[in-house]
Amino acid sequence: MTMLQIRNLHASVDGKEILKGIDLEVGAGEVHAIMGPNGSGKSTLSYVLAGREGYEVTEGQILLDGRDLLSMSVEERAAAGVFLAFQYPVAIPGVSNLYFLRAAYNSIRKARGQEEVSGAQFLKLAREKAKLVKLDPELLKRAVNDGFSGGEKKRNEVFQMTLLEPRLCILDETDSGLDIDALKIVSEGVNALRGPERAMLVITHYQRLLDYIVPDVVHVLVDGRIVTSGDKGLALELEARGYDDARASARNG
Amino acid sequence: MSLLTTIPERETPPTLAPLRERARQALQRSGLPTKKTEAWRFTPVRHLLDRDYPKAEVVDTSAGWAAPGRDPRAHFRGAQLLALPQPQPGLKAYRAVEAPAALLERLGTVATNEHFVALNSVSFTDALLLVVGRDYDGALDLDYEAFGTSPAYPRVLIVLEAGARLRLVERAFGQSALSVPVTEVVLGPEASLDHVRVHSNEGALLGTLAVAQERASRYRSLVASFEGAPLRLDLDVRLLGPCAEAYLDGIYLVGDQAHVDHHVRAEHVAPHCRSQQRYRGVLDGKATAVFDGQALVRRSAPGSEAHQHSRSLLLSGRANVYAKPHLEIDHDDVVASHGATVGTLDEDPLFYLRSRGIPAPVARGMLAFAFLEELVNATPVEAIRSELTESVLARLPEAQTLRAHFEELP
Repeated sequence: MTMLQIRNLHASVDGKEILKGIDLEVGAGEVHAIMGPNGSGKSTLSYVLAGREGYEVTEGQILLDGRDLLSMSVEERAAAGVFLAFQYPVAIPGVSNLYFLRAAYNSIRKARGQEEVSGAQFLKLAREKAKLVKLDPELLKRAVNDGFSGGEKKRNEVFQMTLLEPRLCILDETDSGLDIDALKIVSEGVNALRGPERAMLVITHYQRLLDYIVPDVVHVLVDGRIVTSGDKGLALELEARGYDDARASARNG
Repeated sequence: MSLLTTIPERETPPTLAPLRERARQALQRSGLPTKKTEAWRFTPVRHLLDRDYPKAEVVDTSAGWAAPGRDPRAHFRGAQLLALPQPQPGLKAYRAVEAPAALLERLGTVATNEHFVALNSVSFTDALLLVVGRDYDGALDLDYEAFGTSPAYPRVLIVLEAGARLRLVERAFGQSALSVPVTEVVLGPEASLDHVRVHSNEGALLGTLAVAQERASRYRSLVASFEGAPLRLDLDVRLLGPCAEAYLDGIYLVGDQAHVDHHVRAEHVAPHCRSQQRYRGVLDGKATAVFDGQALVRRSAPGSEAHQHSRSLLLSGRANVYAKPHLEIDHDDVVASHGATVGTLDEDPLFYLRSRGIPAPVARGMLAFAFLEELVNATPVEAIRSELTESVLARLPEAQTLRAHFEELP
């Protein structure tokens, strides 16, 4: 069953076209990797999916579970099940992680017409999920990402993802700034979330992350287009030969 | 009748006569601020001075004035001092008429005798004088209940003796035409005052809070202003003894047509003192804020450390901030910093919150809340923290949703 459908997606930033016609289908339970060199449009794709302002879609369609994402606000997309794990999660001094997440959790429940949960219920849930991703419970009390190390920030992103149980997870360069130990822990958290009820897009420059989060399909994004797709072997090939071949085929194609 | 002509001719204890006379002369000399008075440039008060005020009415206290629950505390209603703290070991409280002469003589020696301080000195009906000894370790609440249509002049002197400690909460609330309170504080050697002052009164308030610090005394202050019709506070701290420290925080959160003006001044007279000013404000609607922070380091004050920082957040394109942090340093051996920022909410955190499902208006409220909450969390008086948090929440857009989100977790 197709969960995410992207059809002929064109998007511009400041009037400059970055995405030049992307077609992509991700089925329920599947993990797709998007690889590509710097400036190929990887992060733009993740922001366009999440609905960030300043990213103008000029053509095309994005459907999640058959629903039109492009007509939704950022928060409506979150309620529909979109979750973007940020490459650079921002710090929000003054708001504790727990209070922030309760606000997110209850906002989404409210938007879905579900009853909001009590403080005690939420606390129990948060502690359970923190344990799953091996997040230090002390970090729950601290201000959101404030003074967190690179690894703690990424773990916090995966923790949020675990708690909010999205339909579509987008991991934007989740491996950047992580050492091998942190990478393993973060990957375990992500792998625990794999399942028939959700789809994942793993965006990365390097193949390294895909040793830990093994994708079903790998797409290569160059200059705003997907130039080739294949199985996980494609990632290894790219690692060995670099992106030059892919660039060349983009020019010729 | 305008403000200056409504000064009551009152019977004054002879001990107060010199103070009243000095103030009368100061008023004749300096008058009240006009739009040409530099320190009042952004806060015009002419309409307050020219307004008609009735003669002071006498509050009937016989008709069941119920003391609120908190104690020890003092309560001004309008011009009248209705309640004094119960006597406790180490805490002495007097009205002006019954205060020892030596204590009364200190009244008017801390605040600079000009403009509204002089007006208060000429006009106050009764003054509250408090002496806190080192055997008192406790709290004190001071209420200024704005009341009635005639101007009110609450007057307070607090003396902390050597080594004394006090947690003080001042609250200005209620509704009136004009209140001109003056609070003078003397911190003796090694005394420590933790002080929160909350402005939530409707009606004009032109207040002065003057603090004189002796050797190794410590003053921690948080001013929280939630209304401004207009509000002006002159917080004037003088570090007179070596190694004294003053930590001066402030938050304001105002909307509509409110006008709040915080003039904060730390004067280093003695060596090796430290002062820090941190003011943060959120403005919505057509509100205006003035922050004028001064740190003065005299030639007599080597080894001083003086910091000041002001940050303002504009939630509306029609709000205005005049921020003026300035340092005046007459000595080389000084560590000092200052800065001021005025801006709107950052897009990055806003997008982050929304991407987690929090609707944009709520996300904006959360960020404004967080901005102020950092200083609320650092309140010198812990007991008032949840009250302050609630005051902030109640005034933000989407207050009800925010309150649910920030309701204390078990």
